[in-house]
Order: sequence, then C-alpha cells, then structure tokens
Amino acid sequence: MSFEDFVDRLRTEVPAQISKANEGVECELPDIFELKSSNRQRSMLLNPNDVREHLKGLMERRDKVDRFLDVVSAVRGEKMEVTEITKGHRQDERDFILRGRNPETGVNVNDMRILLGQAARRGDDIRNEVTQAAFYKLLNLHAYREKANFI
Amino acid sequence: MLDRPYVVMDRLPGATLNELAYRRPEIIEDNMVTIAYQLGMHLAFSYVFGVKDGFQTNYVFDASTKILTRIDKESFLDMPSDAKTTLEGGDRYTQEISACEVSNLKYIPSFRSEKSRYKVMYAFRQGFLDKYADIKAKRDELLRMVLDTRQTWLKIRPAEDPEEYEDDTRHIVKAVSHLAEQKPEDVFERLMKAKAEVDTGRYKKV
Repeated sequence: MSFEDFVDRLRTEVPAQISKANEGVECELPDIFELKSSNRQRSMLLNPNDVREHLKGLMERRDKVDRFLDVVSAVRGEKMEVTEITKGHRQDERDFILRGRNPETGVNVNDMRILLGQAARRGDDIRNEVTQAAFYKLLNLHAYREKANFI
Repeated sequence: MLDRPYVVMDRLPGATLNELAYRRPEIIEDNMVTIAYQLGMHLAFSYVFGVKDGFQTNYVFDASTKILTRIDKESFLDMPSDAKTTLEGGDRYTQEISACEVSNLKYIPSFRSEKSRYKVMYAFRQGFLDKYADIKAKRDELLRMVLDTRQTWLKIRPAEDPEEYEDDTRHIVKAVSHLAEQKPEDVFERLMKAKAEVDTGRYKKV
C-alpha cells in the first residue's frame, strides 16, 4: 500500500472511530448545566470523612463541595463516590483528577477531571470550554462528557 | 479558590503530546500519520472558530483508539477584528492560530527529519482540507449554533451593554461566515507562511 493510499484509508477510519467514541456524549447544543445542591442526592453521595475533608480543603467551602459532588455524579450519569483526588497535568494547578467507585456496587469507575476557571476571566474560560462540545460533535471531532457549574 | 466556575469532565485515557514527547516519543512516531492528520482537522476548526492556545499540552492522544482530543478549550469565537485580512502577510490572527497549532508538528520525530517530513505535512494538510470541507458543508447549521451559543452566554452572564453585545454577535457571525467561505488551500498556505513569519519575528506593525 502506498503512503497516499494509507492516508486515504485513515480518512475513512479516523472519522468512523471518532463517531463511535462520540456516541455516548450528549451535547446537542451549547448547553449549560447548573446544579443546585440537593439534600437527597447529597445523602447518597457523601464520602468518607477523610475524602470530604480533602475536598473541603481543596474547595475551601463546604456548600461548594456538596454541589461539586452532585455535579460529578450528574456528569457520569451514575453515582460516583470520590475516593481520591490528585493534581492533574496542568502546571498552573487548576486541574485535578478524581478517582472513585460506584457506592452501590463498590466497583471502581473511570476517573473524572475537574478544571477550575481562571479568576481573572470570570468564568468565560469555562463557558467557552463547555459550549464548544456541540460544535465538536456536529463536526465529528472527539468530544467528551462534561458539565460546567457557574457560581 | 472555589468561588470560581469549574467544569467536570471525563478524564481521557492517553497522554498529552507534551507528555508523550518526553516520556514515550515512540508512540508519537508510531502514530505520526494519524496524529498529523488529526492535528490538521483541529487546525481548521481553530482557525474558523477562533480557538486559541492549541498547544501540545492541550492535545491528548490515546494510542488504543488512535484518537487525538483537544482539551481545555478555554478560548472560543475569539475572532479577528477584520476577517478580511486573515490571508494577508503578517496578519496577527492567522499568526496566533498558526504559532501554536503548527508548532505541534515538531513533537513528531519524523517532522524533524528531512527524509520523512513530507509524510507528516501531507497528512496534516489532508486533515485540514477534509475538516474545512466538513465545515463548509455544515456552514448554515454552524452559524445558527454560533447564535445559539451567544444566547447561552447571555444566560450565564447578562451583558452590561446589550447593544454592544448584539454588535459583537453580528461581528462574530460575520467573521465565522467569512472564514468558512475562504478557499482551504489558500488558508493552509497562509497558515504555513504565518508560522514562518512568527519564527523569524516578522510581525505587522499595529
């Protein structure tokens, strides 16, 4: 197979692979997600105290922590009990990796990532991030499940 | 710290181009054609929709699925003040898009080799042209989405000056429409030249 033929094959294979990966990602429009703290949800999602304290230290305020946990589960579409938080790859330390499990089955679930907005941009950066997803899906660029929360 | 908006997302498997370049360059090299092809696709999107900061740390490659994903897309619809000048030498918008997106090619070992560089460029260009054609085919729907997006942004934070916001929206739609109408081959050529301009410090005086 010539190199040009190989690229031609990729032109079919890559879009098909991306399309398949995008199937489970819901982003039909520039949609913004806004969660209010829910006592019912919270009671199902509360984690061991050490995790909660870890989150609290990260987030500084307890009410934000609760809302944050609601968001994690809502993004996933199933309950997620966060068991560990580590720093992400960003050098500006605005991202964190969340590891967790399904609280009902105890089975580990895929990691989630949280990205904090830049204080100076007043949320415009987070707004831009989530509103692009619909464009990515329409144009068959790889999109991923994500939800934003605006204070 | 947490009085800030945030986004929660799936953590993508794989690693950023930056991480791979330093820890597992063989993965980049083994997949150089598909990575270059997909970088070209993203370049087309970034150019038409004003997405800046497409650096190597903002692309994640998963060797198992062969998919390259753009992450941390914190700028969007950041359009040029005059979309009609983007194909002119020294245009700042084109230079800014090109400076980071085209620079990513240097993380592909073959791109640094005279012998195999053309393969990387061939795939990169093809990805760019394919995605540009896709954008053109979906132009009307995309322009409607731009308007919807601007309305959504208003819900998040009402405009201090609604008339100015409407003017900005008209400008953005017009700019996206204009860039989408350009001839992809010309745009690609200009982006390559813009990168060379940046590398040699040739900026247009403002």
